[in-house]
Amino acid sequence: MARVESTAVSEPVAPAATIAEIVEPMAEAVPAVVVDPTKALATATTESVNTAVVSGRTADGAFFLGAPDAPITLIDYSDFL
Amino acid sequence: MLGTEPQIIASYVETGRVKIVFWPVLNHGDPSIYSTLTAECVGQQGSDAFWTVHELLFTNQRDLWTAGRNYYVDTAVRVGVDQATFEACYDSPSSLDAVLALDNLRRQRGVFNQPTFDVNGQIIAGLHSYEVFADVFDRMSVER
Repeated sequence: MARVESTAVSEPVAPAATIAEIVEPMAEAVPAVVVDPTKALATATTESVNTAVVSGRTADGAFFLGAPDAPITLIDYSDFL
Repeated sequence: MLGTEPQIIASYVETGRVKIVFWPVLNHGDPSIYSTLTAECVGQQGSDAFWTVHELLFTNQRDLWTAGRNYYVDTAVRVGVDQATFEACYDSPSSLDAVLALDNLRRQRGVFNQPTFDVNGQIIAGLHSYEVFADVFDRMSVER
């Protein structure tokens, strides 16, 4: 079964100054994620049939997964590389 | 995030306790831009498809350093979106602008490294185990 798509919702925006105080600007940091590429399609298929999870876009245009009114929002600032 | 994401989804997202937002950080030039553009254009055909290609791109991330347009078109087709619609999006300046706008907004928020996680305003920098995230989620749930 496919996920249920939802309309955009507003995301809480953390104060920039607060984040800047915690996260030191650095040139680049590469996430040390190592996976087996031979499992890519099977993994993606498993992901695509995940049930009862709402997905959609925030008002800013970012994609979200989970109940729009969930009490906790985890923003994953990341790169595919 | 990929390693811990399935556990977080199963334990916290599917139970309605946590919502995950993926926010692109384009720190590696064209490979970052075009992999994220691919996710954007797949996602324009359905947010469910976005999360499928999101996982596929992470899984194949070693390919992305040298990937070109054909690779991304193949990736999009692989997750089941319409190829012509995807290609029109991929070649559209407005799609690229949308991707770059998100990247600019995270800079305005003071996020310069990836991965960085914002959990209801609490910043977690770098990769961590599932247990670290679970502990934060559980503590926040108790405090509410």
